[in-house]
Amino acid sequence: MAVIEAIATTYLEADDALIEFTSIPQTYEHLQLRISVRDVTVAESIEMTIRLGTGGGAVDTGSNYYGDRMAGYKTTEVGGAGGARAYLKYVAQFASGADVPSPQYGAGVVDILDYASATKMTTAMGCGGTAVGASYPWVGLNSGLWSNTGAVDRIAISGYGYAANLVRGTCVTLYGLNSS
Amino acid sequence: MAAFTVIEHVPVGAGGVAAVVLDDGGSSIPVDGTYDHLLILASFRYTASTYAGENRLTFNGVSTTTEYSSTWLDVSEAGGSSAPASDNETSGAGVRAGSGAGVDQTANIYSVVKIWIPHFANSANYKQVFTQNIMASDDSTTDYYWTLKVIAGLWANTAAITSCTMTGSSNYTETSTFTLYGVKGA
Repeated sequence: MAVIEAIATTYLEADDALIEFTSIPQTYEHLQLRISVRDVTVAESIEMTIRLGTGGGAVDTGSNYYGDRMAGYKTTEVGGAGGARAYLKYVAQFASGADVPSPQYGAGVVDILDYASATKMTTAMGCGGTAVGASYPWVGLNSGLWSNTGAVDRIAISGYGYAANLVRGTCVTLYGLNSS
Repeated sequence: MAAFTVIEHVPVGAGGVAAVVLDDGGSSIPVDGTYDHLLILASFRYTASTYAGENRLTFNGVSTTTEYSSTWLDVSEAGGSSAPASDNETSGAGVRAGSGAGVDQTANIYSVVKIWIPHFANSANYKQVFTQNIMASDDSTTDYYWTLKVIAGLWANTAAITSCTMTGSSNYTETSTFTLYGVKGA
């Protein structure tokens, strides 16, 4: 059995507001998202947003998500906490926006550890960036916390504000990491 | 051949543990070319009455502080404003290996650390370590504390790495998990 297995890949053939992975197997130790993303929002760099679900139901739409960021753009460094939100705001803050040339897609990796645990709140670590932009070329290390101890079996990914479209060509692969 | 292999997975048991030794099931990590790099992934929490503690990582049981140095960029907050900052130390009880939540944080919040140790088996060079770490918070405690951190660590020793020991600032709680992967090049 391979340690890292690809569970699913979504490649957008047209702009779409949602990428969703459902019925995620509970047989892995950790999950990992590898992402190439562009958002329709008028910005140079912007965030993808993520919601999680458990128990076979829909994703949680409540204000149960937290997250922090450590980032830099050009010569400026920023840090901050997200507070309670209705989606993970910062963990995938590496999408290219409409203000940079259309072939540019941001890139990043999000690790979701012990996602199948029934005792841990789900914690995610994201790292990525967008290299080109007149004012906001961006790179950062980010966190996400879902205040729920349920085992994650659904991941939904959207654009800015959990509303904006993701651009055609956006690609997300979900991997599972085994522990034996 | 698979690129990634699980060398050891350690789920911390009842009562917690002060340190986690990651090797090949009690034997040395193979340094015969079986693997080229090491990767550690951990989900952990401390038992002490504190908001945050810190891991140290040592190798081969060596505790000589002058062999371990670290440089880091981090941001953290304890109920106030936050700004990223960098710092370093030229000796320590191991390379710095990430911060984690203690029991003063909301229950069931675990911290995350990912540690890369490239070219670990060579016996000519010092060993460089790269760490990414998050300690998240739900902001619900009066003096909540979160941090994000990247760390470059150096073990100034040319010995091939045969074991890795993660030591917390207090015991790791039950259900903390540590996984050591061996990564093979082509």
